[in-house]
Amino acid sequence: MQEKTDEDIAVQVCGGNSNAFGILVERYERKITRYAKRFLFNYRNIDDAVQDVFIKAYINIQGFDTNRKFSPWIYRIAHNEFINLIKKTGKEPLPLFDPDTLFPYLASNERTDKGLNDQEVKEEIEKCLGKLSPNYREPLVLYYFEDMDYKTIADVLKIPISTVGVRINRGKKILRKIYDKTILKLE
Amino acid sequence: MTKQFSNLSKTILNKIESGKAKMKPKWHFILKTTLAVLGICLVSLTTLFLTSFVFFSLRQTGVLFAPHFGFRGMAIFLFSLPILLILLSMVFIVVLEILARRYSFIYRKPLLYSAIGIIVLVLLGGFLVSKTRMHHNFFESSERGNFPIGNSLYKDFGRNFGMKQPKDITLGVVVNKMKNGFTMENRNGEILNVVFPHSSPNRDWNFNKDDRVLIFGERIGDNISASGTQKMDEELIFPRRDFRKRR
Repeated sequence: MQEKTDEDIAVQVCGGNSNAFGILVERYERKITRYAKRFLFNYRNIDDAVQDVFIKAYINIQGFDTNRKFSPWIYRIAHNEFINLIKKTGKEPLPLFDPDTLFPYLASNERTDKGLNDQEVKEEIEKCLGKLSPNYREPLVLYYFEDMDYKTIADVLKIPISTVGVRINRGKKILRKIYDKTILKLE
Repeated sequence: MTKQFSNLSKTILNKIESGKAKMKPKWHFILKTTLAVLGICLVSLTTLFLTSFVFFSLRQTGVLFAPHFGFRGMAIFLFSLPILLILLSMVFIVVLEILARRYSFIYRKPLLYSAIGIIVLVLLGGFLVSKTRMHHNFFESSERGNFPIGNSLYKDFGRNFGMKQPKDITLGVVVNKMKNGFTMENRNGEILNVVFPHSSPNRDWNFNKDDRVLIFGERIGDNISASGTQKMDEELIFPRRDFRKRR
């Protein structure tokens, strides 16, 4: 059973094998919890949010297109659930319309040197997570901690691929400023 | 696998077994997708209808050809546009963009690209549809009172929706040729005298009886002092049979 792909298991669940859903939960529990802890930094009820993600995934599993990858589908459900939680608590403002999605950007191609400074960036993200707005925090978390490429992130967030690049680049710049200020204060 | 993970799996499986979490049936998603596709088709057709109607009205009132007569013609064109219909078409284009963004080939591209793509398709489609007899048939039906829903829209080619018939543009059919002009009949059955002042660059006009013409010039009473003319060759402009019935 463990050797089967996520998509195969999803087919089994759709066919009425509810227990097979437990395997999907175990495969994605760590990933979704990790994503939630970083994206919903400073938020309470993270465990409940993660549980709701899996419940919603089960409820809507007949809507999953088995010709596609299961991973972006469940991350999309998690994204919606976490965004709803942010909206509900009202702690962080979320724009109704994002102008970044409007124009094409030239300097937004995916880096080929990914991995060289990743550890450094990851440390910066970890230390300054709460100070980044959700718009920038989420693509950074998905790119550096969930190891997603721009196309997958675009599918999870339903935004243009070039916008993913812009948000990651801008997010990193903002992060560097916040990080440098924090270090200066400490010194 | 740690104990915590197993607990979450167990909790979720318990909820499923107890019926607290119920899977939505397949038909729910098929219905949702079908409704979304139908919505996109309906909005696309409505947008196409409105855009083609704008082209149809602009052609029938002669406004579409006004820019041929220089800056003044361009100004007349811009001021005579059916703003309400254009705004309504834009609202439908926005709705279409929102509906289409559920598909990956749309949302993966910047909004500007997809919006330009939709606008170009709508304009091109609208222009092509306006070249068919569809609006003519609807217009004739509404004139005969057989198209109650369309009466308000088709009345004077969209006058109720902001379409204006500019004073300086007149469409008609040549009735009689005279020494320094001709008489023509407009759509309302009025006989108008068209004269060419000495300063007119169109003094060497060469129209025949029954030619469909567009006259650019100020109308005073039944007289038009033409500063520009254009022969209309398009079969769909100004249906001739309306004239023949009246005459």
